[in-house]
Amino acid sequence: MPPLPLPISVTATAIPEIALLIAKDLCKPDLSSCSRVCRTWSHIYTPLLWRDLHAHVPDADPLLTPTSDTPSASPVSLLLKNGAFIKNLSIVDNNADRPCVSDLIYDRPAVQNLIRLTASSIQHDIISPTRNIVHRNSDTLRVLWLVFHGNKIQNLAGGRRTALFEFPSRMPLLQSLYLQHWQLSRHQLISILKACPSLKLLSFDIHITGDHDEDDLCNGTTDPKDASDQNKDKDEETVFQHQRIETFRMCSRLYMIMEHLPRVKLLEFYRFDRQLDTLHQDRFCQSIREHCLDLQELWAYGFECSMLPAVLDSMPRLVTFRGSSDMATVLSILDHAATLEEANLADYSEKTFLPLQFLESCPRLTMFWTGHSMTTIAQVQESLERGWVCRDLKELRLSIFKLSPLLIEAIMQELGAHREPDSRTSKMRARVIKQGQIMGLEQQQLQRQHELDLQAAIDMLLPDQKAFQKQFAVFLKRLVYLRRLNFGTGWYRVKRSAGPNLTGTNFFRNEHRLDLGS
Amino acid sequence: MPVILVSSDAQEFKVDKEVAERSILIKNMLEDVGESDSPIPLPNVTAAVLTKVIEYCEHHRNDPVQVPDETDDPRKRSNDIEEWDMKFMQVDQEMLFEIILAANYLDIKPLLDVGCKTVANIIKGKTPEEIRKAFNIVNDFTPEEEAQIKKENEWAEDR
Repeated sequence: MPPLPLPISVTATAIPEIALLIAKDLCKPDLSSCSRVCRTWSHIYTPLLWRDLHAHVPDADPLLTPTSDTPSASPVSLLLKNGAFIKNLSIVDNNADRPCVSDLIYDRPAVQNLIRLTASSIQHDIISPTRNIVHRNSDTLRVLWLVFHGNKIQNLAGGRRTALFEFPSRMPLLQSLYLQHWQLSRHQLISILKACPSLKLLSFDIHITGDHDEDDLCNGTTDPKDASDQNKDKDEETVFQHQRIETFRMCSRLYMIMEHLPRVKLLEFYRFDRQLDTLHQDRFCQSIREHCLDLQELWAYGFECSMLPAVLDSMPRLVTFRGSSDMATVLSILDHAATLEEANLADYSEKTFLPLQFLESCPRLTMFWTGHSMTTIAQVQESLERGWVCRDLKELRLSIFKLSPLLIEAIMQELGAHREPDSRTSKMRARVIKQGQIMGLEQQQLQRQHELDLQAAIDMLLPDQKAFQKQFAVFLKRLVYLRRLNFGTGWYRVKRSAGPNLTGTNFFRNEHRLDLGS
Repeated sequence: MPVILVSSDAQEFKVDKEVAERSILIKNMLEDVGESDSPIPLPNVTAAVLTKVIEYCEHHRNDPVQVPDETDDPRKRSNDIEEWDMKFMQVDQEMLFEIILAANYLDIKPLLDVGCKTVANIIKGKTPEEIRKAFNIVNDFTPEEEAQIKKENEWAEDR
């Protein structure tokens, strides 16, 4: 009997891109059902079922506790058969009782096509299996995330200059490397950087041993390089520079390796919980000035603010700033007004703050977020009179003191902006539509009544409030790229049918600084 | 200037350039050819499907072009389908896959996305047998194979 022609549902989904897109929205049980539909779908969906594997131990991991006692469905034979399909493997392993999922998976030779490996809380007794899986996948890995369990590991690993394991001598595709709770010598670190020419992102919370000992630096007695026992490679190492790494998330001790990272664009502080003393801070800023000429982004969440002005002043230019800030930081950021494109100061907590100054003096600003500020309506009005230079502004979060929710709603109405549905309401709506239900009459009436009440309340606004509503909305309309707005009551989306049409309309009296015609 | 598209069954469709260029394939073709009013043949798309695809592109003619890294951001990638798109996708399953194939061929990423999401929504929560019914698929496993694969997948099932 000739085989039946396959239906389009099977042939269409046999195209890998399409299968992958469908699978993206499916959970494991759904993927399992798909792989049991027919032979073709089994070939398509079994690899997708195994593609992403996330195991959290000690939560009972289903892979480890097979319900059937068929030998062919035992974890080991399943991994033998399907291990090569695993692309993304993530294991959080807090279990002290062996054997566990890490041993089980790490030492399976079939697991050899990993693109992403995330191993959190690695215990000392699986260092060797961890080493094995990293080495086995050194040709395919693009993202590698190794977090050892607590700080104990360093003692267990022995002497001060012992790395936990030898890194592969070459990882040609590796782009992101996260190491936490490691201890490396500079020599070992540079070997790793050399082994990974494609690296773009480094995220290190590690301790560099050997040279550049902090005590030596503090005493100022020793030339840091003399402390190194890697004399033969020293010269080559001091000049080594990695040409690809653009993002560096670092903890406080690591500024001394920045001389090896000349292409860094983004510096993110990570567990930078200790303030550096003056000497280290000076050296830190000096290394930025000397070595990081491409640096333009600073992410400083949970960072000791008092150090930021010095860091910011050392940067050749600042395009993006996100993070904690204080008044001095804000002023240092404003020194970069000419290049600043994105500032997220939502963490800002002091009462004195100059959000409007950003809008008035940063011509390239496209995204600006502030936290609570004491900026008043009168100050905003004065600022509008002076004009804003950021005509490319796309996203604005600005808290204005005493701007009532009703007045915000009125401004948004005038502007033609609509509240962004939060995920809960849109999910509910999707469910209603999916089930083919129509909103009950009662609900419709309630909503209508709510809209009428709102409109009535807006009509009752005081004349000066109405004047501000008009003035502000008209002003904001001139920002033709503005898409998202938040004045403290949630996000609104500005719908624009066609941007350029708006530029021609002459709404505003005081638009000398905003004049797009010039 | 309008562009003329010709379906596999030789029907001509006149559409605005802006609408046609929602298809990256057509956009690239127009860029390669330059100013020309010769019709563009689309041998993989029937008139019925092309009508639907054009309807979609007309509706979304002003949408901003998707930035690749936006779709990679899990926070921005939602499972929600816009209301209009959801209604647009209420077609029989054969047409649904025809649209997906056309979107893939014509390189219209948002349409491909919404099509695949629609398929995923149909699959969600269904048993293998229910999926076969929904998509008109014949079970070609032997009973032994079926039992075997069921066992092998047990770890991934809801319990």
